[in-house]
Amino acid sequence: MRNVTNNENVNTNAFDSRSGIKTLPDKYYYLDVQLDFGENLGKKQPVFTKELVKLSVTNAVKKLFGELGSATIIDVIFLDQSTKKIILRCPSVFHVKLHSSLTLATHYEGHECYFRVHKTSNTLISLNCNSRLYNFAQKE
Amino acid sequence: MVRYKNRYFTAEIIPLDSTTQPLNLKTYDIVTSILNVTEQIHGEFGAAAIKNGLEVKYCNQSTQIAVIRCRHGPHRLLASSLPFLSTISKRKVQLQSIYTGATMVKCFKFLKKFHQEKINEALKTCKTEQEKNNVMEIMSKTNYEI
Amino acid sequence: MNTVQGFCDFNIPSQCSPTTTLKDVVLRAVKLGYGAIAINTTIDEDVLIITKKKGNKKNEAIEEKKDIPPPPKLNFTEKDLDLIKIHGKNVKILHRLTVMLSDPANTQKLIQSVNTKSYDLIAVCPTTSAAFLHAAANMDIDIITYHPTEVKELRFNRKHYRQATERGIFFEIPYSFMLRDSTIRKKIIQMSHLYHSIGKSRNIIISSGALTPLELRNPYDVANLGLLLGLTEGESRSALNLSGRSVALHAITRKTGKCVSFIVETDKLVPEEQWKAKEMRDAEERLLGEPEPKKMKMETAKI
Repeated sequence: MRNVTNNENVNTNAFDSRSGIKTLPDKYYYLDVQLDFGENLGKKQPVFTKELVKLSVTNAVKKLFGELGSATIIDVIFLDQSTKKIILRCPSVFHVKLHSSLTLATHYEGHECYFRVHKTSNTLISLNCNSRLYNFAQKE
Repeated sequence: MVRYKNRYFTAEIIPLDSTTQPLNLKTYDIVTSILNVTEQIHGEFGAAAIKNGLEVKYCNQSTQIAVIRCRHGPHRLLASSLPFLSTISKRKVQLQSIYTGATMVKCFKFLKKFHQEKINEALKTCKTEQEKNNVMEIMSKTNYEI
Repeated sequence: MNTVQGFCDFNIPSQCSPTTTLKDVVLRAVKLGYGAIAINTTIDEDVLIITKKKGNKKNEAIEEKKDIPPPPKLNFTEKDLDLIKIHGKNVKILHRLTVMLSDPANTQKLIQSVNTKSYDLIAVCPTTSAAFLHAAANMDIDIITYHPTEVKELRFNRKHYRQATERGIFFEIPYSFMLRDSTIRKKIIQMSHLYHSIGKSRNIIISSGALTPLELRNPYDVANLGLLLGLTEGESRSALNLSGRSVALHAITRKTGKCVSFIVETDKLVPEEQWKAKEMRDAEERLLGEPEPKKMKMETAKI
C-alpha cells in the first residue's frame, strides 16, 4: 500500500541532485513476460496475437485496479510465438501495479495460464541480461 | 506510540431525481455504494484498501449531510472516487464533498459555520417576519454533537 | 542441522486438487526457485475435541495416534531427487501441521499428542478473536495463518500483535486464495493491510497454499505482490527468505530448547555439510603450521 499508493511521488527528474549524474528520465518501464501454460495444455493451442495479449493484460489490470488503472497506456512491443514471450511497456509509475496484476492473472483466452515476469527494467536493453537465469551449477 | 490516523469526509448528498420524497439515508446503504463505486474506479485493490475503518459516522436526512470516516493513507483513493458516486439505494444522487477533516469535531465546527451561512442566505430571501421565524425554527432542528 | 536457505514456501497443501499430484506441485515449486518447501496438513478442530472425550478411557495413547495424522510420506523417485538437487542446492522439504482453532480450550491435546512432534512446523488458523489472542499470547507455535472463508472477523490490537512477534510467531498471508475469487482477494488484501496498520507488517511471511502447479508464482513476483499487501520492498523480500529462515529456526527451538549454537561430531555430519569438517581440518593445519605466506606479503606491502 505504502509503495503503490505513493507511486505518483516517484522522482522522475532527469537530474539526480545527490550524485550529480545526469540520467535519462524514467518515462517508461519494460517488463519481460512469459506466458506459462503448464505441462498439461490441451491439444487446442490458444491464438497468440498482440491484440489478444493486450486485451487479457488490460482485463487483469482493470479487475485489480479499476477504470483508473485500465486507462493507463500499456503496449505490447514484442511478441514471440514459439516461446510465448512478450515485452510490455508501461509508464514507470505504474509498473508495480502492472506487475502485481500480471501475477494475479489466471487465465488467457480461457486457458489456465501464468504470466511469469522474468525481469523488469526501465531500459529495454537491460532485459537482455538477466542474472536470475544464471546457472550456478558446479563444473567438475 | 503511533497514532491511528483517520480522515473524515463531510459530504453533501444532493438528490437528482424529480421526486420530492425525502432521502431515506441509511448508513449501510451509503457504505455499500461507496465500496461499489471505489471498486469501479480503483478496482478490487481500492475497495479492499479503504474497507478497513470505513464507517459513516453521521448522516442527517433533513440536511442531507454525511460524515464518512476512512483510514489515513487510502483516503486518497476514497476521495478520488466520491465524485463518481451516483446512486444510493436506487436513488440517483450527487455527492458534493465539502470538507475533509482529521477529527469529527473539526467537521462539525465546519458544518456549523456552513449552516449559519445557509441560514443567512435563506433569511435574505425572506420578505415577512413570519417567514424568518419559520426558517429559524426548521434550522434549529439540526443539532450537532459539539 | 536443519537450516533453511533461499526462498521459502511454507504452505503447500498435502491434499491438492484431484487433477494433479503433490509431486507435480513440489517439483514446480523447485523449478520456480524455492529453496525450502513445507507440506501442509490441515486438521479440523473436532479432531482435538474427540481426543478430549476419549482421553478418559483407558486406551488413550492409541486413540491419539489415530486422530492427529502423521506427516505424509513423499515417494520421490531417484530421478526426481536428482532434479531437485540440480536446480536448487539444498531443497528442504518440511512438514507442517495447521490446526483450525475456534476455542482456546482445545489446545492442550494438540501439544500432548505424539504425532505433533513429528511435524517440523506448527501453525494455527484462529477462526475467532479469542482463539487468536490465545494463540498469540500462550501457544507454542510458529505461524498464525489466515483463512479467508473460514474466518469471519478478527479483532486484535497492537499489544496482541506485539506479544506474538516478540515470541517469534510469524503471520502468514496465503496468496493463492487471491487467484481464485474476487471477494476472497479483497479479504486477503484487507487483512494484510490490517497487519500493516496494526503491527507495521512485522513478522510477515507470504506463502502460496497452491492446490495446482499453476497457482504457484515466481518468488520475485510474490515479492512484488508484497508491495500491494502493504509491505515495503525490503520487507516483502524478507517475507520470502529471511523470515522463512527465522520460522524454521523457531521451529527447531521447540524441540531443543533455547540455544544459540549446535554441536555435532564431525564424523556424523550429513553429506551436504561435510565441507565444514574439511574446512576445519584445513584451518587447524594452517594454525599449527607455519604462518601463511599470504599474510607476510600483506605486511611487507604495507611497509
